Amino acid sequence: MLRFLAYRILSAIPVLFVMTIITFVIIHSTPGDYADYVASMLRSEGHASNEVAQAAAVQFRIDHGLNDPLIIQYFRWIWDILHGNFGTSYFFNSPISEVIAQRLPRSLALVLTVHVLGTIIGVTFGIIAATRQYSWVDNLFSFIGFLGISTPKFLFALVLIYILAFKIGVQELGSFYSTYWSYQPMSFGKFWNLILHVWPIILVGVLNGISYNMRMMRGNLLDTLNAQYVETARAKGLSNTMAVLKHAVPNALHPLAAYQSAVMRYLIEGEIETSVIFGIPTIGVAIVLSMSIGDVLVTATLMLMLGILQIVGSILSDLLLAWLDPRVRLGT
Amino acid sequence: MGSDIFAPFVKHEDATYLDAAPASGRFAKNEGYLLLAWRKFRRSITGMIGLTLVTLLLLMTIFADFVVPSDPREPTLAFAPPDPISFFNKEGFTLRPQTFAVTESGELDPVTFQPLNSPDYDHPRPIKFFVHGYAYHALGLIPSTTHLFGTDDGQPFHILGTDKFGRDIFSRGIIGSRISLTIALITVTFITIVGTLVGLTSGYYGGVFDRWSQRVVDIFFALPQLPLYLALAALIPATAPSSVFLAFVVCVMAALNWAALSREVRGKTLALARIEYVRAAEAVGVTDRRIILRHILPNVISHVIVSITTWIPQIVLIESFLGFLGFAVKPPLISWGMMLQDCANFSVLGSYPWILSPVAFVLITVFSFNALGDGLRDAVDPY
Amino acid sequence: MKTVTGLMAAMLALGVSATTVKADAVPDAPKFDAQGKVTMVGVGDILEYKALPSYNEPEFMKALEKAGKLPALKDRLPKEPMVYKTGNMKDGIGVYGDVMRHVIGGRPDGWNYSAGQSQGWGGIDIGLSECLTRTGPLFQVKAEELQPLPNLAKSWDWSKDGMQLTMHLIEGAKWSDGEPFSADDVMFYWEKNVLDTNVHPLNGANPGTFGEGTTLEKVDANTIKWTFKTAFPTQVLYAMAYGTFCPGPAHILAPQHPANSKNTYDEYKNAFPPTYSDMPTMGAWTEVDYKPDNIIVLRRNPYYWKVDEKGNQLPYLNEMQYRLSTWADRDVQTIAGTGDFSNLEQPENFVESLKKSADPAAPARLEFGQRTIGYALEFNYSANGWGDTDANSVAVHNLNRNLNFRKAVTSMLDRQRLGESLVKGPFTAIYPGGLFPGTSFYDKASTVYYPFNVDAAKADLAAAGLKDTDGDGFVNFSKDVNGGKNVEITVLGNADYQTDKSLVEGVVAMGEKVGLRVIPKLLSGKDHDAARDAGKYDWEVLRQSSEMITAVQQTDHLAPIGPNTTDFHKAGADGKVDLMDFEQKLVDIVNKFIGAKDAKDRIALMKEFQKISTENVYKAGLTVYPGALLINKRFANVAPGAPIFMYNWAEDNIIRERVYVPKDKQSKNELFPDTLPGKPGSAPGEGLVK
Repeated sequence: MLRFLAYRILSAIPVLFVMTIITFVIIHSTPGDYADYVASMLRSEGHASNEVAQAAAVQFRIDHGLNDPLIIQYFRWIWDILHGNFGTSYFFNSPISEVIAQRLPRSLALVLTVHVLGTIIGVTFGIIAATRQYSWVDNLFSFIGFLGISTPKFLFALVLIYILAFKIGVQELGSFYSTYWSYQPMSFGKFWNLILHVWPIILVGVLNGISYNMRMMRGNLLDTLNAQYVETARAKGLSNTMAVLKHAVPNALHPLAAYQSAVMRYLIEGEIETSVIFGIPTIGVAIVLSMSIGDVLVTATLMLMLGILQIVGSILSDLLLAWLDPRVRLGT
Repeated sequence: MGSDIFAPFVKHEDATYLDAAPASGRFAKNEGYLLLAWRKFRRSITGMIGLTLVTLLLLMTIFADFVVPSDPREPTLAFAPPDPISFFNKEGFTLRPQTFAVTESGELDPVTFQPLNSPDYDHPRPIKFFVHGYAYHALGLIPSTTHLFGTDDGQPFHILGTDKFGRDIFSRGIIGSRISLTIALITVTFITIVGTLVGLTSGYYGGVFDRWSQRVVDIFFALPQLPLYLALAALIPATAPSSVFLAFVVCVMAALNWAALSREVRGKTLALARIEYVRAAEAVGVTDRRIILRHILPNVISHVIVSITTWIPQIVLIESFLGFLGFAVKPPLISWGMMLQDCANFSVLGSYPWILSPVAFVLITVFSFNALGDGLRDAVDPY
Repeated sequence: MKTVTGLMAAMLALGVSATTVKADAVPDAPKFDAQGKVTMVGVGDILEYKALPSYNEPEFMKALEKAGKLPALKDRLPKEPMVYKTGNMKDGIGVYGDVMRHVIGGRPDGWNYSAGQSQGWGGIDIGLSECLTRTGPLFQVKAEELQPLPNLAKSWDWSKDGMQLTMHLIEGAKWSDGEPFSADDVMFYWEKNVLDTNVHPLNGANPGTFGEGTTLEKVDANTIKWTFKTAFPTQVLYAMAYGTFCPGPAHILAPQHPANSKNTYDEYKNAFPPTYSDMPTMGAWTEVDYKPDNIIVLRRNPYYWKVDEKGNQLPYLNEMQYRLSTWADRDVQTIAGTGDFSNLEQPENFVESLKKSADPAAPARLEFGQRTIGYALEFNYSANGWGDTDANSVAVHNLNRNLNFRKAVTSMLDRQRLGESLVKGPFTAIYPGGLFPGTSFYDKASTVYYPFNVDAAKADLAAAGLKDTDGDGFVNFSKDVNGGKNVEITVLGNADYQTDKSLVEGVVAMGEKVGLRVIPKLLSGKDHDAARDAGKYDWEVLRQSSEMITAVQQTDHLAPIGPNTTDFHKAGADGKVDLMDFEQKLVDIVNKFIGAKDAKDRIALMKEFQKISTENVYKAGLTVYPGALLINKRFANVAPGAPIFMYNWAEDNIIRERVYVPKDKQSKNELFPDTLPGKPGSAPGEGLVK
């Protein structure tokens, strides 16, 4: 097991490098950069003339080394990272490590909540639906599942925000906390305020997660339910529930375990849609924002982080698979 | 996960296992398999509904111009609500449904300053089938002006209202299905072929090939989709022809999504390849190809089919989201993603909800493919 | 690269003179009740500088004075504070209390405005940095008396020959930390930030901003003198307003400047990060707290130098909050009631916002101003190398230079329909081009309008030498231009805004109707800006900026008086702009306008500009519409009809220091009630004086 782990971690490093090169190149290949954003802000907010705005853009590029060839910029970035310096964000004018530190914990908490809730509820629904195939319970859950994965999340979010802001007049919209509570230390009141702010994101994400997990689980379980060893277990006197839980479900979890590796990425990108619309400052939103204004180091660093999370998730899912299924463990 | 060896002993709710085809000639067995699968499929209501809907969808896509009653590009009254259809007019009940065009009364709403409009009940227009409408080329070759249904006088008929330029939403939705479904089907084909191949070979052969291919999969996985879509969207030159653009979209979506399928297939293959009967087959000297094709693949297929039916709707949704972000086909082409761009403001949500119709189109498409998949999943394993 | 033969080029550029499009009178813009009516006044009706017999301040400040934590009010105010006239205040004298909560999408770089750091935009720097003159409230000043309002400079006199301007600064005013404000602050800004080419102040003040060769000197502690190279450059007074002459606290900044320390210029710029709180300001509020990605809080400036006629020291509002979120979030927050102020600029949200604010229980009210938001279709005129240089682009640019072609384009546009695609109803108005209808320099009689007429457009295309030779429904170039291929026109638009996208879509569809193949090029954010600055487009749908509204700001955008001054016609490879004949006339008019000292001269010049530019379809205007001020219902003293943007943004226009909340409507939203800003350089939230 340890050898397997060591091997996976070591082989992850070249993968990361290749990924960073690809993303770095792609990010820099778009025609505009942050200097253009600076110029446009000067024009629209500061009523500066075109010449002044252009001069500011040119100056910005000189000041921040944006005119250097891409390779040099890339190595400069990698070199800094290896020395623990993640660079400065142009937009926030503060170290990127601070920007990430401010956003990461809450983003992760949000994403993990959505994932755990979605998986547990989804798997449970899937088991219930599969064991009562074709009953009204099955149809109801299938219907919910269908709704969950077929509504475009961003539209759902828009409708939600419209109803909350325009129809109901909810005050807790946008950001993680209301202004007042952001000044208070953590307490039940503050936690409740947090929930009031993020529940739409969680709702939309969980609905999606439930649907996917439920369908996966139901499909796979229906396969294993008819297998011979389940039949044997029943014949041996095991109650149906136990037979299902002890024998059928673990085998059905296979593809689900393989799916976990992709989960982190899906979730962060999944919550981007809703978070952008609700104005909640998460990591996903930071990626989209930095891409649109050309804050390239933020984008590159966040992508690197996502890549690492991805690979970690992938390793964990392999471990999970091995733990679940002795055949995989022994065979490798 | 049934395998043919154990088939006679598998329990079914209705004990039709006695109907299992005898293991006689090869051809008889295959024929029996298809028949069995079809019979099993027929019993699933969801599956049949799905099949009907998918067929209708595909027909509608192919004969889009024939189905739509109005020219999707012709501008009329902007932001008009759907034309009401009624079986009653001034004279009373009629068998033929009537529709009334929406016209503006010239007055403004005191709060929102919007021109008030209402249906013109004085001029009912009968709805007929096989009417004359705008000209088009059926199947791209045969010029025609016949449409499935519409009004007598060939004037625009807006079942789902109009958009900001006064173009018929229903017509645009149907014409838009062409591009959206084409993208989805081609992308999913690529994903399935590449994902399954890589997953199968990787899971079965293991070893060096497995290690290298998994690293490649990891790289693809580690690439965050959304930012790449956004970045790549800016790179396509504006004057590139639509076919280039569509090919680009398909390639990017396939490239970023095949890895997930391959990992799932690999997982399943890994387990299957270690099963006793496979080991036995190996021991006896059966070639790898035969093992893969005859023992592993059929068992993986049911999972792949479920995946396909999950992927098609996912790609349709991804396309709609990308279209919403701006990574969509450009006018004069129409796709659902492009139509969804118009939905992203509060006036649409509050005052012109019919503009949200593309969501319904997406929902119906997603539902039909998923329903079909449900039915297929059960049927593909009739034993 | 295929070159266009000389004759062809001449023909394309000059065009055939017989026009088939007839000019018409511009239809009047529709009226609607929700537009606020502006009462036009003179400068003297708004403010004056005078000493009052007694002054007043909030109760909690009186208590702080008693406790010895704050000097007496009389000592804190200048000799003659600025007094706002009650007659110009819609709801009269106000009461102290409450807070205005803004939401902004920017983030602060730091507090060194003079060295080029932004404070996040959205009116925060407008509130913090007061300037020599002020232009925001000019929307209510009569055209005959139009000149910038005095601010830190309370009066000025021109020398007889007009080469010198003596400005009298306010006497005895102090920064928010109690240090005196004087000509030294002005000179530090001028000498060490504007003149020093290593420093780039925010909004780009440089020596040329105030006229080439201009010098400034200190006469005494409260007087400065400008010396110009041309006579009576009254235009320059506008440049002394926001954002090019807003001096910073020299007593804090100078010690960090490289001239006085071992700092590099970069260190000077970054010496005041957002965590350096209580930076001294001359504005009504001073920053006291900063939570990254969360909020910036400002508290009232105890040394503010403006009062109302009863002697109450302004501002009425004790606190300002700036929630750090996104721009799109601002509208939603204001409608929901968690924010107090927003500029509603997206017409797609008008209807819902109107519905919502009609509800008596809704927290915010909506008021439309004049139609000062407008879009035009701009043509890339450069045929000498600015922008794309492939054969098709050059051919299209040459087409752009052809008057018949431009007339065809302007008459193919159904402006009524374009406006309706944004929002139906009386909001949008037909905009033929040139100055915005209803603004100070607009003259209807001088505006030439070519109405919507598809047949005339087609005829004009033919007159421009374009025919559909391959029968595909799109016109082609003539055989020896670009090989007779289809005319393919790229129109650039900003993909971030629904409005821009809708207009581009409309232009494409209308082009198709007359046989022009127009290809949309929708880019977002920085990519759009890069394409725009590099000229990589044939046409551009662009929101118009100040020069079309007021003409006195960003005047150099009106015509290519320099190689890089306009958006759509910049210098080519040889460093020169290839002006068309009428364009040269426009350049001359603009230069005269900048040097004109008489309001009458200026009005006449603009009339001529309007005539020539609309006659020649310099830009094809699309539509104009009003923005709406979305403001919480509890605020009083917001001038009716205040535009969200005219000379400056609404945050400046409504004069926030006069805005108040009646006692019975005041909220409990103050985060730091009864406190004042403290020592500069304190940690965020720590320096408060309580």
